[in-house]
Amino acid sequence: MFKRARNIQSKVSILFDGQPIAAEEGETVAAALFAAGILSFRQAPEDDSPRGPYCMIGNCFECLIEIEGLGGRQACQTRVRDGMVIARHRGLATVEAGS
Amino acid sequence: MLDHDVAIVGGGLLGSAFGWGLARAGQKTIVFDEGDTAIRTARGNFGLVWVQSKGQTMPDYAAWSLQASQLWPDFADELKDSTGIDIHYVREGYNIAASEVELEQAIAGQERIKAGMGDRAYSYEVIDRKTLKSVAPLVSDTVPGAIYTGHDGHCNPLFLMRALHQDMQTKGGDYRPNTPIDAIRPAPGGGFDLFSGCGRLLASAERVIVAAGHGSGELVRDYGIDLPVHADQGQVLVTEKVSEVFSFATGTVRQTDNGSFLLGASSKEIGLDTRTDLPTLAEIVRYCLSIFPFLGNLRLQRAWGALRVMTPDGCPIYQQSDSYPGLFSFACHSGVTLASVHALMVTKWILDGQIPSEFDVFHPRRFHV
Amino acid sequence: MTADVVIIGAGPAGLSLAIGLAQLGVCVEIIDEGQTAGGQVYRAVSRNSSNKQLLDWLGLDYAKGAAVVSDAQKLDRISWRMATSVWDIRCEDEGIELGLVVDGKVSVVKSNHVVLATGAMERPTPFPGWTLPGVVSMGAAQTLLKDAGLLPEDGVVLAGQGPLLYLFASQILAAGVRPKAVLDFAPKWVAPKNLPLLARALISSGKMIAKGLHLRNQISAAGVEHLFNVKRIEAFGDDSLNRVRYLHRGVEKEVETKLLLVHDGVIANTHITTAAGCAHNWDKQQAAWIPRRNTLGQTSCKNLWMLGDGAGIAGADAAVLQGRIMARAIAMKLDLSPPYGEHQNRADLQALSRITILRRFLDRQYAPVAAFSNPPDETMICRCEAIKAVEIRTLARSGCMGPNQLRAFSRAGMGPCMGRQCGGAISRIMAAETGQDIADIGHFSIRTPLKPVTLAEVASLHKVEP
Repeated sequence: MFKRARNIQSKVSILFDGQPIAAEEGETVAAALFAAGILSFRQAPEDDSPRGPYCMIGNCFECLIEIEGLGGRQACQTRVRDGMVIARHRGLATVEAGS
Repeated sequence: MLDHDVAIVGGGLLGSAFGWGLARAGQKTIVFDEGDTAIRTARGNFGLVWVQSKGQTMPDYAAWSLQASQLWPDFADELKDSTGIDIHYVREGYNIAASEVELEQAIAGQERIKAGMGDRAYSYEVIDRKTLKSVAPLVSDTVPGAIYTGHDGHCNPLFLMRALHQDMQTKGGDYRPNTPIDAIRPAPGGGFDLFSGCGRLLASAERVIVAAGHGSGELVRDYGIDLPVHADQGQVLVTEKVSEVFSFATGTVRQTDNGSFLLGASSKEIGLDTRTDLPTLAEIVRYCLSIFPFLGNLRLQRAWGALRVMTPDGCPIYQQSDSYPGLFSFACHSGVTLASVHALMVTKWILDGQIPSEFDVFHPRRFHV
Repeated sequence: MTADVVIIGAGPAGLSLAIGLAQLGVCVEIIDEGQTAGGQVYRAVSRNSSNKQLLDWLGLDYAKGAAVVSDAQKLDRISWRMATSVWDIRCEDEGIELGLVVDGKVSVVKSNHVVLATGAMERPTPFPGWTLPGVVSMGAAQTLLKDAGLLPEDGVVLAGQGPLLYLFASQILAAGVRPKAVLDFAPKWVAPKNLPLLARALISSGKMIAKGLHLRNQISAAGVEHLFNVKRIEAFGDDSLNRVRYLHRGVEKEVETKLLLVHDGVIANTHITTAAGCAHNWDKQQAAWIPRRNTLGQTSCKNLWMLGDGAGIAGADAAVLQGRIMARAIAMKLDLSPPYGEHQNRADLQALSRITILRRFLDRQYAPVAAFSNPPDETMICRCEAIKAVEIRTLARSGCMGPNQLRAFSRAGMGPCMGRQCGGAISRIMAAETGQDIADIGHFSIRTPLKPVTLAEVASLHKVEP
C-alpha cells in the first residue's frame, strides 16, 4: 500500500465504481487509486486474475481501466479531472453503437 | 539412397497443409522451413475461409474454393480432435456492401460465378439492410445490404498453422526450421536431392513439393519451371479485445475468437515490404468505420503489412515438372481457404504422382495463351 | 515543421542534446510524453523544486535535474511538444515520418534528422505470483514518489538487486518509511573474478562506488533486515498480495506484506528502434538488445540517431555527456562549425569513458537474477495474454524457430504491451531450452502503434497526404 507524503494541496474528486475518492489535481489516475488503497484495477479476461499497475511508465498496460465510459485506458498515463468517472474492468470491455 | 518419400520446401500454410496430409497418409515426410525473420505470408493472414470473391474469372477456382469450404468443418474437427487446438472455424460470413454501387458490383460478381459454374450448384442471397441489422445490429444505417452464400466463414489462421505443425510432427513428419533450401537436383537413380546454401545434402526424396511462397520462383527456375508470382501487400489492423459483438466474418472486418477485430486489407505492389503506412491504414479504417461506426472507439492493437503470393490472374498455380516428374510447385494467396483441399486432396495427387487432368486449368501455361 | 532536428525524449540525454544544439544555432523540437520535461530520472523535477522535503528525500542527483530542465527552457531555439506520444515511426531515405498523438488528436510530422532519447525501462522480473496487485516494480514506486508524492507504507518488502534498489531504499528510509525486509539477490561481497573490474572502477569512479556503498549501508544501519544472496521469491494472495516466500541460505521463509517492490536493473527500451527497423545487437555485458550505432550515434536507419540509456545503459550523467558530444556531431553534419574547442570534446569523452568503466563493473556485479531469467514453469511470462513459461518451453522444443513464430502460435507478446514485458524473457527461455545463443534466437518484431491510438484517431488521418 502507498500513502501520501503530504496532505492533498489542490483537491479534486473522482468516482471509482461509484465511490467518491479525493485526489490531487494533476496526478495520474493510478496514483490517486493507489493513494486510496486500491491496488486491483481489473480482472484479466484471459485468466480471470486480478491485476493492477506494475510499471507506472506506460509500458506494461496492467493498469488498464475504464475511464469516462471508455475501456482499456492506461491509468498511469491519464491525469485525474474533477468528477472523472472510473470503473474497474471485469472481463472484456463491451462496446456500444456509434462512436 | 532416398531417405524420404516427400520433401516439402516451405513451412507456411501450404507446406504445413501438405506436410500434415502426407504424414497423415503415412508418407515419410520432411518439411524445410526458413528462419524466424524470413518473409512469412502465413503469419500475416486475415483468416477468412472465403468463397464468394474467388474465381469470378475462373469458374474452376470458384468450384475449388467451394469444395474447400465444404471440407472445412471436418478438417477443423479432425485437427481439434488430434491436437486439442481449437482453430475456431465459424462458417458464417457476409460480404457487406458499403454503398449501393458496391452492392450492385457484388451481385454482378455473384452472377458471374453462377454463370461460370454451369451445372455445378452455386447460389447466393442478397440480404437487405433490415435483415442484416437483425444479425448485425451495429452495422451502419448507410449500409444497403450484403451477400450471403452459406459457404463463407473464418478461423484463427495462426492456430491453424500451429495445429498443422504440431500434428504433422505427431504423425511422424520431420520439421526442420532455420533450414533454407538452396538447390534441388535430380538424384542419381531417381528422386531428388535437396541442398543447403553451402552445398550440403540435407535430404533425398522421391518427390518434392516447392511451396516456398515468394521464394519458390527462384528455386525452380533452373528446371525451366515457370512460377510467376509477385508480392501484393495487404495491410491489416487488429484492435484491442472486447466482448463478443458478432461471430460472423465480413470481407473486410471480422471479430476474432479472442475478441479483437481485424480490419483489412489494402492491395499494393511495392515489393517485399511489410511496413505499414499511415495513409493506407487510415483509408482501411475509414472504410471499415463506414460499415461499423462503433469500431472508432476501439484502440488499435497492432497493424502490419502482409504479402500475398499473387499470381497474374489471382488464381492458384498447381504444376508438376514435365522434365522432372515428381517435382511439384504450388503457389496461391488463399492458403487458409484452400488448406482443407491442400491437406486432404492435393496430397493424393502427390501420392498418385500426377495432378488429375481436371486441374490442368491451374497450370501456369494458362498465362501463355 | 521548422526545427532542424527533432528529439524524442526530454530526459537528461534529450535535454542535453537540445541544449548543445541550440547553443550551436540549431533549431530543435523536443517531443515527450510527460507533462513536464525531465524524463524518468528527473521526473517532475521543476514542479517539485519548491518541495524541499521531497527533494531532501530524493537527493542531490535528482535535484540537480532542475537546472538541466531550466537551462533548456531558457533557450528559444528549443520548442516543446509535451504530453505527446510517438505512436508511429517510418524511416525513408528522404526523411523520417512520425505519427503523434496528443490528447486524442493525431498528426504526422516529418523531419530530416530525428534523435531518439527514449531511455530505459526496468528489466521485467517474472516470478511466480508477480501478476498479483501489490507486486509493483521499484521504478514504479519511485515514479509515484516523484510524480505524486506517494510513499510505500511501513512493512513494504523490497526485493531484487541493482543500484536502484539501494537508491530507492535510502530515499524511503530518509522519508521515515520502515521496510520489513530487503531481499537482496546480489552477494554482499564482490566475487573474486570481478575484483579486477572493481579495481578499475575504483580508480576511475571511486566516489561513485563509495556513494553506492553508503546507500547500501543505510539499510542495515536503519535496523532493516537486509538479506543477501536471496535465490528465489514467490508472491501469494487472493485479490492482492499478502505474503512473499523466499529462499535464503537454502531455507524457505515467508514474510507477510501488502506491497512488494521488485527490481532487476534497467535495460535499453528498444521498442521504438525495433519498430523503426533498426538493427540490434545482443549485448552480453548488459544482457539486453541494444540498437546498433556508429561512433557518432547514428542507427542503421538513415537520419535516425540515438543516445542515452536507450542505446545501452550508462546513466543520467553519461546521458548528459553523450548529449553534448552528439550535439557537436550533428552540428558538423549540418555544416555548422562547433564553437567548443577540440579539448572540450576530449574532456567529455574522457568523462564518459570513466563512467563506462564503472558500468562494466556494475553490469557484472549486478548481472540479471537467474531466478527471473529462467523462471519456473508456472510463472506468467506474457502477462497480457496469460501465457506461462511452460507453454513457451513446450513450443521452443517443438520447433518454433524464434520468438516471432512463437508469438504467432501462442499469442504471447500479442497483448496491449506488445511484448515489452515478455519479449526478453521469451528469447531467454527459448535460448535456454534449445541450447542456442540469444543472439541467434532473436527478438520480437515490433509494429505500429507504439502508443495507444483509437481507430477513429487513425481514420482522422485519411486526408493527410503521405
